[in-house]
Amino acid sequence: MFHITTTLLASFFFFSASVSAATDTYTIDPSHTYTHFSVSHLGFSIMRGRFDQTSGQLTINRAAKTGSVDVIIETASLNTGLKKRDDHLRSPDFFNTAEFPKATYKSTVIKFNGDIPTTVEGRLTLLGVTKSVTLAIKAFKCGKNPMNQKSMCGIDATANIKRSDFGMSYALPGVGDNIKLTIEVEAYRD
Amino acid sequence: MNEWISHPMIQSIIAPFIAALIASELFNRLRLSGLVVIAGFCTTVYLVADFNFEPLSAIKKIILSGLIAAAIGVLLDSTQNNWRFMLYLIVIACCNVVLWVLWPVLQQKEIQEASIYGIGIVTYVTWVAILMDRLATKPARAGSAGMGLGMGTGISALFSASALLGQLGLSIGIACSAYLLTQLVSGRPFFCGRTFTLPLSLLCGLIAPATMVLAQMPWYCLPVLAAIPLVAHVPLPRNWSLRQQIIVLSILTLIIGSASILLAWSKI
Repeated sequence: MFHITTTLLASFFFFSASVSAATDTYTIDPSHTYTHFSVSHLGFSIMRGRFDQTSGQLTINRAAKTGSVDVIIETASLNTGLKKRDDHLRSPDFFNTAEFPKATYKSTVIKFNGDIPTTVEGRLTLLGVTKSVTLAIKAFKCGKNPMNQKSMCGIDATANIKRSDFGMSYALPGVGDNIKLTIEVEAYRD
Repeated sequence: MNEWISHPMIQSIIAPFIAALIASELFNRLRLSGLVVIAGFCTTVYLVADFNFEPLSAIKKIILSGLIAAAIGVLLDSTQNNWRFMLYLIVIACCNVVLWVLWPVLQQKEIQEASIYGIGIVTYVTWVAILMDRLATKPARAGSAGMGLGMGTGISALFSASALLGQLGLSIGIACSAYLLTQLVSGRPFFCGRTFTLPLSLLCGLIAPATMVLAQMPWYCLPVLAAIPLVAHVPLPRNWSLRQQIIVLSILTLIIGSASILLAWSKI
């Protein structure tokens, strides 16, 4: 009896320690991670584009409800489907990619509903300016990729920013100030 | 009203032209008509960018440098110094400024590539600064060089994927055209001095290399643009009137400027 009790207690403490220490680190899969942006073009339509190259890491501890996001976007990888427009967007008029080749996002707080993250509060650095930006997580799933059996997580998140907050004021108000960001992320556990 | 002010024609042509016309006429009595360059430039900066210098990006550095150059130009003309070394100081200052403006981009390149770019842009700004400084007492020549350089740089930049740099360059050319027009109409030369040539040579010496490094201007546009202030030194018959000089020199500098525009356009 004593032996069984001891074993059960040992198992309980071991399991608790395992759960509370289970901070998993995930490396972003660049081929399935994209940041899309959309902006009003002269009030006639919404122009959409995306950044083709994103890298970074996520950490998450669902039991402890903590985590972090650290993402780097290669600004020159923007793609709107038209080379002339892409060249213009890369110029000093907009993203000034030669001078600021990277945009970064680093989280400060991740909020959970149960063990599911719902929002990420963090700091976006774009054109050398850092501002607080909150990502709203619309979808979240972790599991095993059926193709390669690797543990991974997938996230869909959105955010709204004003480009003028980051010093990108050319062509206002014709090209809108409000930018909607939609981010799809897939990351594999290390 | 907002739509009207937001129109690129207003921002980079009509507004700086009017500002430069007023500055040219008003300030000539104070021997400060050289301020037309900075008046036209600042008008466009006000309409398309702003005078907020944070963060201090390359464009903001260019704007700040232009303002400081105009102030220094006024100071130099007011002291009426004849220091032999003044030209050397101007050249050294211009070289340092262009490297300061473009250093964040150059340092990202491989050493060999950065060195080639650095040598090229320093050579360009040195050349423009020296040649324009020699025109400080020749308003017709300086104005024609400024018009060709500004318009050539501005329109080349427009074709090189940067409308902002294009508008800034164009505003300088348009301001110089207003300066020339007042002299053409009145038939008398207006004061020039380093108030005119220093901000002009520095701004054009910055905008063209910046467009090459930050946007899509082909490098071979720079030597073509560099020929503009050289062409403004072409000897003319002594008996030619001011109006004749302005017309001929303007045509020559605009032809060279057009060559740069064509080269930039052909790369699209």
